[in-house]
Amino acid sequence: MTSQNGSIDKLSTVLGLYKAEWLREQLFDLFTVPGYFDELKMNRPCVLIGGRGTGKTTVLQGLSYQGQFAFAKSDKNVIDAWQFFGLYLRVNTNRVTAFRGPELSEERWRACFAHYLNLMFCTQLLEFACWYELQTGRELSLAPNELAMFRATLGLKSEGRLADLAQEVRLQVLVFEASINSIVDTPPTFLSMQGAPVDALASALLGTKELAGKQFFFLIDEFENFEDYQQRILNTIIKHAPSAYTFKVGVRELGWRERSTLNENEQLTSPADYARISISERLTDSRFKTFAENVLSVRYQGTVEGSAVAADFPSLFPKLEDLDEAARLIDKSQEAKVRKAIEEASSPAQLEAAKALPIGVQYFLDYWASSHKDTTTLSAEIDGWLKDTAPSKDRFNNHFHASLFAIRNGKRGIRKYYSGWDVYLALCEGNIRYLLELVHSALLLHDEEGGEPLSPISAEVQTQAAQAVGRKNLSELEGLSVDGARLTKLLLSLGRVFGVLAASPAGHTPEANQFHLREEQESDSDGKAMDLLKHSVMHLALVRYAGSKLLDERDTKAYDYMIHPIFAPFFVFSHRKKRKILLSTANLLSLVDKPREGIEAVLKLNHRESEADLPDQMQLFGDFYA
Amino acid sequence: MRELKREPILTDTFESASLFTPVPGSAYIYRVGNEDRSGHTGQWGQSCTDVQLIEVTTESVSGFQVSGVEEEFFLRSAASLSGLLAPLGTGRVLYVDITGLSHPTWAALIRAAIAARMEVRAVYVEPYRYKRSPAPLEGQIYDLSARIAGIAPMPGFATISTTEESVFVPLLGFEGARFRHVIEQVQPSHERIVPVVGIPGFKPWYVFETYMGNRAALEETSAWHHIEFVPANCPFSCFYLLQELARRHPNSTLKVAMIGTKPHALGAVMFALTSPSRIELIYDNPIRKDGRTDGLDRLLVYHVGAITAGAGGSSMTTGAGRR
Repeated sequence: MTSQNGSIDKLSTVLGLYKAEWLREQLFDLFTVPGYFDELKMNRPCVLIGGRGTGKTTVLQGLSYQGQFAFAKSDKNVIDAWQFFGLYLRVNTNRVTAFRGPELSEERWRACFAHYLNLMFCTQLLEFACWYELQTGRELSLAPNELAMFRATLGLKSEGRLADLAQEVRLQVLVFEASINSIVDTPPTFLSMQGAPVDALASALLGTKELAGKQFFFLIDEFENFEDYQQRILNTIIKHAPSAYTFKVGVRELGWRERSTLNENEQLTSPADYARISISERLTDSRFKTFAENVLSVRYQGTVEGSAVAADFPSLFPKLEDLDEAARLIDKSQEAKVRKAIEEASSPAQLEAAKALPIGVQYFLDYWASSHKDTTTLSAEIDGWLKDTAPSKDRFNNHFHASLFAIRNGKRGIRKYYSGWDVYLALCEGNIRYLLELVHSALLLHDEEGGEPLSPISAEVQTQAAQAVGRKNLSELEGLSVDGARLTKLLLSLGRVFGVLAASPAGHTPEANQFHLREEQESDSDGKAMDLLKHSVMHLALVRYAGSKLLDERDTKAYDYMIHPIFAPFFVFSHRKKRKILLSTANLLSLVDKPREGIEAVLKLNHRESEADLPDQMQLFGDFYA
Repeated sequence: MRELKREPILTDTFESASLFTPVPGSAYIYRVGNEDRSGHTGQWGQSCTDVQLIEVTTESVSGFQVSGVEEEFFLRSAASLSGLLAPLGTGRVLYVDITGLSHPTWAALIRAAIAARMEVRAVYVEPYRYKRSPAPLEGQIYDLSARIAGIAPMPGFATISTTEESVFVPLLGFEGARFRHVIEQVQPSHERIVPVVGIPGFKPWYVFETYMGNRAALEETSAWHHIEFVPANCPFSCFYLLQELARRHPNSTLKVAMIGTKPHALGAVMFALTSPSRIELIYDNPIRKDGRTDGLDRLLVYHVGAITAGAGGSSMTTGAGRR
């Protein structure tokens, strides 16, 4: 193996591990502190909101006592300096869905589930306590009366130490499991009171001189996996938790479906009850850039020779200026056609100057004149450009980028380039996993083309990599959610709509790549469409923007929506947040239920016709659009 | 491929469903669904006067009803299921036809029949062919499931205790989206995924289509390095494989995702009944499309009781001693 191959393999491995659960031991070595990390260390509830791949799991695991210990390089002396002990718990769908079914009333399931939570949280506390004693070599000086109170809450018989209690709680879980499995015949005979054992145990542990003054953090990941009634139980516990412990919750956008406690008149509100940390709002463009470059630098260092110093990502992923891009996109026959038109339309006095213009400018002048024949001519456009008139420059600034999408409409090969570090960052919309995927994909392609690990990656390779990542995430979408098939269809249809709009911009609003819903009277399709939108946002098929409006985040209809920019290179539309079109909820549903008709209808509303020729990378989906 | 061992394959194979007749004095429980193959009882039912036929007419998430009986039988109630099976008599041969029944129903019936000390045989009819998807996305070559209801344990087979170490064993079918979904939910470590592919498949080319359907996730997780092969129609081979995996990973629980053939799922259920502490069953509750298969092929009778006799005596599984 050559040194270069070795570097690429190592880098590929470390970039390919873009899910926290895949990193295992490396998670903490590769951990990069996001700007909001310290806010999570506050002694009050925090809710961390972010899509799949935004780093919630990594951050929550970083707060766990195991994570903190790893950051301290397993230095036992630092444990006593910690102000909190994080206990990580991922909500496992296969467990929590056991607590539902028509055999019991919801009230009864609530009691069962509250008991289950008590057992889980107490197990975590006891495991931590055992770990603490093991690491520090000190026994926790638990007050016998406090321990007795804890035992009473769960009906524990053991008089032994923490390890014995932990074992007895584990046994209780198994007995409870058998009871849940035969819930009709043998419903549980003993159910602890919601929160009582956790309160008692946390208080007993923090009552020791070793842990006095500290706090426990329950780090609940994937909160969206709870059933609705279970979210209400957790909300109740979060709102009324004693100072001994608090909660740090990781949840997908719109995954926190229930905001009330078990008292339906009592809501959890921010900032009164919890600190809301939205990753996408916190990692704005410049912050995401800094964070992303730090994440990647850590992964580059030690894997690629010569990258001991932070890699220069803007140099590795060079940008293609719009004029250069036009020159690449315009093929020889089109160039000849444009040049001929320019020559014919130029006055003798302006001919040489017009011929000397970059092909991109010549193309644009011809494009604009051809699409506005009733108001201008190519001669007038050339004249305006050469005289540097304000309207001419404004038109170029406002419409040139959009016109790039029309150059290769219907042709084979790349129809639009997606290159440049800033473009890559924008495609990710604050999602670090997407960025790792893009860089990984580009690097592998670059290697296949014979490129050195730290040499600039061509615009072609960057674009192909971005298309591949879009396609990969499109094909993954079906498996992400129970509504995955519908989300995939919506994305395929909307992607095609915006692809066609982008490819024929002449005479229309440039870069229309968002939509908002008609604020009309409620219709039958509203409920289904709102559900579809919610799931689309939750699983990152779409992103949504409140704009300047102040909105309730659950008011689905009031937001503007856009296909997640990561899919823009695949469908070939602009990734930049620009202009929007209007859709009805019925339009939206028809894009899923009758894709061909739905696409045609939306295109017609926007004065376009569907086109037969799909971009190369979409050919596989030809049958879907047929 | 696993080495051949002295592991009995307790299967009777009939080249056509019409060649099969249940043994005299037995009981036969089945459901006629919307697939041709589930209606095979019509080919021999009339001529079997000494076989007690019990037709399941409706199934829900929590129970089922049988023809001629008003009450619903609950999957999470040993007493309720015993109400159906006990009158048939201890020691009697009970055929559970898994072809038309959903996983939760046949799994609960097998468990209850074992507890009732009946001699359990499972019947399965292979389809002649599966319906192909008209517009394939990757992982969607076949058009078998309308959607999935989501991961939720089969009633009576829930695991709520935490497992420290686990090995993820997806029993693969054609539908890559289902594989993706269970990976997304289970979140296994890369190096601890052991996918199981049916070889030979019901048809010789199905193995390629299993690979194609699941290609992206197999590649992304590198799990293709660890694939194990067992015949697609053999629950016993699947059972033995799970035993071997449990031996290889003595400190781990096997998280087995039943997203492939019914015989493989049967193997997993047999393992859950005999070694409940070593396994967690993962099921995504697919909602089957109408007419997802065409025609009938071989009929197989699996002598499940030979493996599971004596298991599940306490009627419901408990994971005591789970790793």
